[in-house]
Amino acid sequence: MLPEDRKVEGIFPDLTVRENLLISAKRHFRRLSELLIRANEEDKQYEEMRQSLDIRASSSTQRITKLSGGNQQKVMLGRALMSNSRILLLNEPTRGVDVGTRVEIHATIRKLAQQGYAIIVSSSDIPELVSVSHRCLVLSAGQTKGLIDRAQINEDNITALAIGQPITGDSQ
Amino acid sequence: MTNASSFMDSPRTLHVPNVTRVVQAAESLGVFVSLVVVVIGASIVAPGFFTYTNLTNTLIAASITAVTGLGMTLAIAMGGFDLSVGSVQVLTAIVAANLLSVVDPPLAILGALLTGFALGLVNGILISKLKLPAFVVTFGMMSIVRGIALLVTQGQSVMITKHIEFGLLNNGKVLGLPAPFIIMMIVFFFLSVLLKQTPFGRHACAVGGNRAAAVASGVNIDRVTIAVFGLVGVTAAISGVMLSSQLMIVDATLGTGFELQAITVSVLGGTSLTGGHGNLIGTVFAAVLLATIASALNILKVISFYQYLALGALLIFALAIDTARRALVDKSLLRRA
Repeated sequence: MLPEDRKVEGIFPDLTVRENLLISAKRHFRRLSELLIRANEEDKQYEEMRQSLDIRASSSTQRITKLSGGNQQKVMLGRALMSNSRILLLNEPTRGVDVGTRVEIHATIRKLAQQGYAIIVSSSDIPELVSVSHRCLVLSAGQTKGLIDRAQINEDNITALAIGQPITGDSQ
Repeated sequence: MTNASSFMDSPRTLHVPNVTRVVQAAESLGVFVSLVVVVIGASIVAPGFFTYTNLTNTLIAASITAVTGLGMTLAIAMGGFDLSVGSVQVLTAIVAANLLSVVDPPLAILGALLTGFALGLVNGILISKLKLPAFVVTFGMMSIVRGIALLVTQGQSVMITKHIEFGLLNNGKVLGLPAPFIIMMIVFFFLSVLLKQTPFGRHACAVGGNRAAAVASGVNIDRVTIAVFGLVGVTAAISGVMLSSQLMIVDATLGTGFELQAITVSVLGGTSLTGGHGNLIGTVFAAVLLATIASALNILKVISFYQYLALGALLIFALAIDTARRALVDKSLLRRA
């Protein structure tokens, strides 16, 4: 799960980048003697995730608050992936994120969907919805206004449904 | 272009992190520097301070406080604290002393540690399952456990007459170092690994740093709380065993104000009461600092009542420093954004 407000429900300001990323990782070790092996394994897990999401941190022991909003958000996404869940709930995945990182995060979401993850994105950012969705459920004032399929997802149709207008044919 | 961009970048990437890094280093160094200053000062003004016997005694007193202080540091990192450690210390000291008249020392020690662990678990369960504040639960337990200690002893002293070798836990030397110091170092090493290297330590800091985020990222808050308070109980029990081997005669009035000492050494050592991180090595230094001050005041024949004044003043001073540090860090973060 990716929470909506990174500051309130996301980052642990006192912890490092590595610790923030690994917090949801499943615990595997049972005995104290396995501790060192685990530490190596965690280093590997961290490094793989850092590379695959291209998180830019000067070191794994850097405090998370030193990162840019975009990189913090990538750590949050990485944390959600660490939980080994095949269903992801992403709430406003690019809020407070710079334009470049936003494109990267959208690409990551599409890639994950291709790999077979079921991803539910909740967003009030219409271009974002157009960029990542296969199907789009429009909610307005507490009511379901309509479901749009891949071919018909565009900004006009989403806006039209939101304000109660009929949607207009296929998008180019 | 390159020049311009590096000029633009420098205040962000170089300058400001340096400020916070200096502040972070000062957290551990500050207490160490004051320790060195106080030791040098005490050696000058208090003749007889810098002798082997006195240094050994100071180190033993410091170790007993430090062991519980280390446990307390873990609790504070998790955003709580435990006011019952003084009562747990005295009850476990009594349990150890009583058991020694019936069983061998290892079993007696185990019994004391299990007692401390059980009391700590009770603290943790009450706090997590009844959703009570740690302050209320441990404050109540402080009185309950003290009452149990008085009931068990019927207000009498318990003297250790069998198994005199139990005193070796206090007098013994390993490589020339007093045994209590070794015990403290073992606890320190164990808790350091636990806090820094394991998911458990990470989860404890996460709960203390941002509780809502800990819930959202799947940390089992109840389990972490119970385990941390159980550990604090064990450290208080280790201090209890150390105390009974030091005195060889215990009664239920010992250990009053011990919780204040344990919290003071944690905070003085650089662990913030707001939670989120724990500075274990700082706690050790602060415990030695506290014991040094007490020893110097003793040698200078200052009435022991003044030690309470010194302790309270140190706690308030440490909190003031911590608040100032937080303000400084916030400021530098603001400047960055």
